[in-house]
Amino acid sequence: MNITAKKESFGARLLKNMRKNWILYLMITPVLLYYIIFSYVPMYGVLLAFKDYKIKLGILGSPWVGFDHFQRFFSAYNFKRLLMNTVGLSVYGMIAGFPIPIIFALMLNYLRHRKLKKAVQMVSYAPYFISTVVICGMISIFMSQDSGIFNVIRGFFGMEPVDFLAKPEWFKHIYVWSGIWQGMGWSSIIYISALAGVDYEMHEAAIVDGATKIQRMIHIDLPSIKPTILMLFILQMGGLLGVGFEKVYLLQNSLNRSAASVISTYVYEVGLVNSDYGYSTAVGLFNSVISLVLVVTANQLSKKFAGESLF
Amino acid sequence: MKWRKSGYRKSYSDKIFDIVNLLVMIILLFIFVWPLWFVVIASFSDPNQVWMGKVVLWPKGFTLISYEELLQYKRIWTGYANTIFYTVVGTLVNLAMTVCGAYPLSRKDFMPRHVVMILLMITMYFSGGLIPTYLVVSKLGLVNTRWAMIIPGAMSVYNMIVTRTYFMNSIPSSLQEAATLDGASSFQYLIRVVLPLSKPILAVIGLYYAVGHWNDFYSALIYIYDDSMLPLQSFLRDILMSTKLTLNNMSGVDMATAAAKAQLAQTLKYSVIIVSTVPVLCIYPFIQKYFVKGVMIGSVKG
Amino acid sequence: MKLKKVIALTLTAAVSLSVLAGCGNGEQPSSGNGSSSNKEDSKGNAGTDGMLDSVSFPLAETMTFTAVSGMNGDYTMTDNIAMQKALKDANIQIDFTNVLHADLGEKLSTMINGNNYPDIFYKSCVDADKYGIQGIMIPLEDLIRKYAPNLTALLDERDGWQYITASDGHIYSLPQVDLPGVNRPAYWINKRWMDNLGLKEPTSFEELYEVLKAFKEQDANGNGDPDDEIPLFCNSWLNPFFLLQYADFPNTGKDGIIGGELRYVPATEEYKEFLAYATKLYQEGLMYKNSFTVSHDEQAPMGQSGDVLGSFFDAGAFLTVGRDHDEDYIALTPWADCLDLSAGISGGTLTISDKCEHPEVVVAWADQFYTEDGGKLAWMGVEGETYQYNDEGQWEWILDKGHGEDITTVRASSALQGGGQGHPSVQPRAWMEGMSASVDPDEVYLNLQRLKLIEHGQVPWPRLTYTEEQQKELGTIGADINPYVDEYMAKVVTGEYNLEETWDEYINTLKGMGLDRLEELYKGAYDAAMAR
Repeated sequence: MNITAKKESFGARLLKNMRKNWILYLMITPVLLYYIIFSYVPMYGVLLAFKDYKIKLGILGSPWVGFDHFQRFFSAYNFKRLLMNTVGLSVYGMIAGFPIPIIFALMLNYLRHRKLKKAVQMVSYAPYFISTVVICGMISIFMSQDSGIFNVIRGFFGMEPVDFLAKPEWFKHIYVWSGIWQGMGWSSIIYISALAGVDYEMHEAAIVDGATKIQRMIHIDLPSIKPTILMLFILQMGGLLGVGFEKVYLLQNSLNRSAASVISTYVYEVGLVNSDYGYSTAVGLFNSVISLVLVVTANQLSKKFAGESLF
Repeated sequence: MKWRKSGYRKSYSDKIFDIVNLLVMIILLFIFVWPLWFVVIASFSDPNQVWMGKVVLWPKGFTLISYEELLQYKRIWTGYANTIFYTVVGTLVNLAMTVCGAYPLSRKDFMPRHVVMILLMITMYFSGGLIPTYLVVSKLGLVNTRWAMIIPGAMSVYNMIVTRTYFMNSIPSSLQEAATLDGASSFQYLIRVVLPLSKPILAVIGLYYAVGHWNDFYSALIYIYDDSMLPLQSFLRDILMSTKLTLNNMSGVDMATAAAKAQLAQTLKYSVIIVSTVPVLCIYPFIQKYFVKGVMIGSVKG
Repeated sequence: MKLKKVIALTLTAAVSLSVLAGCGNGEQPSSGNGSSSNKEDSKGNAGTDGMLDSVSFPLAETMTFTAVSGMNGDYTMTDNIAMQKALKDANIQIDFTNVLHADLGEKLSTMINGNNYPDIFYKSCVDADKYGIQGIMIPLEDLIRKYAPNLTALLDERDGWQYITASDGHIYSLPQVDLPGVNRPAYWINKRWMDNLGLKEPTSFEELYEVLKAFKEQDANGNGDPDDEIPLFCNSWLNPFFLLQYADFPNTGKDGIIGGELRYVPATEEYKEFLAYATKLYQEGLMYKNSFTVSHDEQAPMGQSGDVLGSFFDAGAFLTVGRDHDEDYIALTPWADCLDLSAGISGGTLTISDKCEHPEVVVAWADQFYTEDGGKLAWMGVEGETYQYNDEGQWEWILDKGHGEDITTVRASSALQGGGQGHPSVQPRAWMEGMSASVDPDEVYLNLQRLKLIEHGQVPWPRLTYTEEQQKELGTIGADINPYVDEYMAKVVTGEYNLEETWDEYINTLKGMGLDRLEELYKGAYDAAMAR
């Protein structure tokens, strides 16, 4: 009884809300339709992770294989190395790559020279537009043992030239820092626009109080853009296992492979020999589950310690 | 407050900060500019000089051959036109969809917002995978049509969340109350108040989407067969990757083609980068102007 | 270049080869052109399964098929005049969807897995056997025997059926039939430098070492600077492995026959010796120092930057050093007559899907390309439009009929062979024998070098077949083991690892990755093939 009464009242409330805000419901309709059709309908494809996909039989008709694909993945010789490399690259990329755009945006915000500010802003976005193939080509030119700029600089200080791309220990640095070079300007846009929205009265008050720029940065700007920072942090946590395939693949060579094999390149290597959709779906599912756990964890942590959350 | 200190120290510390900041920015400027400058000068230089590392600050063995070859390469220009179409139409669709999603979800009086939010976020981490998605697109009759480049990627949850956060944090809810008192409907409020105040975020998100379309070759790889509908990036990939592909066939009957293609790739490499990247870089200043204006409007919220 | 000599040599070699091929089998090849191959005159009799009992061209009524085709270089099959002629003569219409080569693998995979595929895959049959076994492609062996007399004769003659038969015993694709050819990029060595220094062409690993050493220590290119020579250039793909084809056991690099058994070469003592040799080359500066990291794309700019390369690997010298210097280099004459050759018969050029209603018409139509005339149509295009015979009876390309202003363009826009994908046809004798050297001297020079290699080569073993399960297993093991082997080679050769100290550990790692299972699979397949 109680429950039905509650249900009715919920339904009634919803109906009332719909009548009042019908325009909002109308707006959300195409969005929901889009996600139902293009995301939820295809989700039955996750079944492939447990099936031996036969085209003729279709996804639903293919025979079940249970957890065979997962077992094959977990027992692959390189599984541990792949996982470590993937997580290592992501974590390093995040530790180095996450704060830098924030610091960059803050510093840029205090730059006095208007022209220089504009110029720096303009050029810092540019690398983001360059495609991965090209970026990797540029990396191999600049890292070259004979003529690359980095070895020219090393030579200037009397150091031995290093073949950077041939050393596994250099791989993660090259990968991460080239990623920062490419993305820091672009990622900073969102912070710069958030900083533009910071109430200037607070700054004026702080200046009257005699605060230094660094103090203002830490006590006014950072708290103001905290919601933005946390939101982006939570979102990025989800991508921890999603090390992009293309760039790693293009930078790989036989000498640095021990550091440059990640889950996605492995799937490609096995998949190329035998485009095995069941197997690749299984690995994808593994990735998704871990990513979801990471996002939810980050969200809960953020809710608990910072009072901000996405959902 | 804790920053009440002597006036002398503040200004001293600020001065050091300004100088350090200036230096860092100049170094950064150089770090960003030089590699790009390198591509530019490389495109005007003799390809062999480039590879030998002789090109550092100025073009060596100045030549326009790269651009001349490119002008004659018709497929690039078909791709160019297609890419422009996909970028413009795609971005408009993206923005419309994103606002349709972000605005209701930003309103506290929209009851199902938590449920919808969770539904949308799940799609960021779970997908049915390539083949099931292809089957849907194919059933809708979109395969090998221009719509396949636009509709399957009609919006991104990530950008929607960013927009929603902006709506919630940067547009004071007092405005909505005032508007409701004035008798404006939600839709009127969106059009007259929210969107004008949101120009900066729309400009930024629009740019995100536009760049995504500009660099997208994956949708074309999966959904477009007819080469008259392929975007620029597909041809770029074909030029840059084809050498490997043909050389794997060692029966060697088609060596001249392979050689010519490899040669072409070497010559075109840098000019193709320039020509395919410059338009996006050119659009940016216009958006930035708009963007600065938008930020100004946003800050006069009083 | 001494053209006449070259032509003469090419001619004799090619003739002798074709004669040899002709003698191989007592059966009567039905020669002739496309139309004469269909002598039966009954038309349109529907068989029990809806197929025509016999097909003769032109068809009484136009038949239409859909097809996916790899692009012919930069050009579509739809606009190709050779294809247009072949279709018009047969009264067939094929609606081609032309796919970029760079995208082929992914597009086909989604198309087929998404159940949205055409009747025919022409020049675009990636993984034909795999899809055949899954029932997407139909078996063709009976159709070939019944409707393709030219191809049947060719395959009988060359004992070629085995090379296009899938692991389940069916044939799912039509082949391209070439002269037996070199399978791997050849090793090119600078003849002019050897002449400058008064050296003989090396005939063993030891002599090769001496030659490379001389390149390094003396001013081999004669420009006064003794230090600008790179005796041996390798890249991350064409690594020293490719020297192994000169070793005195038949191998394809990673698998080879040692002691009558098919072995995984990188796990053998022979390989260990070879590694020690390669290490010696590298440590003494005879091998380019970035050999393991420089990409193949960078080989050509390096080769064309000056007279600096002593030797390198490539499919043709002009690909690396350009068309002005390619005659300085000779393909090293093999030391033992076991250079790895391809049988010249490669499948995967045309497959027919289960959606095709009249596969027999397609097979009968394609059969015309397995004759000398049909081969010419496929390889050289339309006589009078794209090629013509000169007064000496040799043929040359026509470059002023609007099909392109250079050979590459004409080949790609108007013959069927462009773009590096195989096509269903037989390589016409005219291609090797009758090409006028005045049009493309580099190609003619290359053909000559290739013939020299072929003389010393052998097709190392019959086609090995594996079941789908075994293939999956090979794939999984290979994905672990092959990169590791490459990595180990690079580390040993560049001196990061000491060969003697790390060899045992290396073998153990290989075993951990499934070496024993790999060799077991090899042995099973090899023994089965030998027993056939």
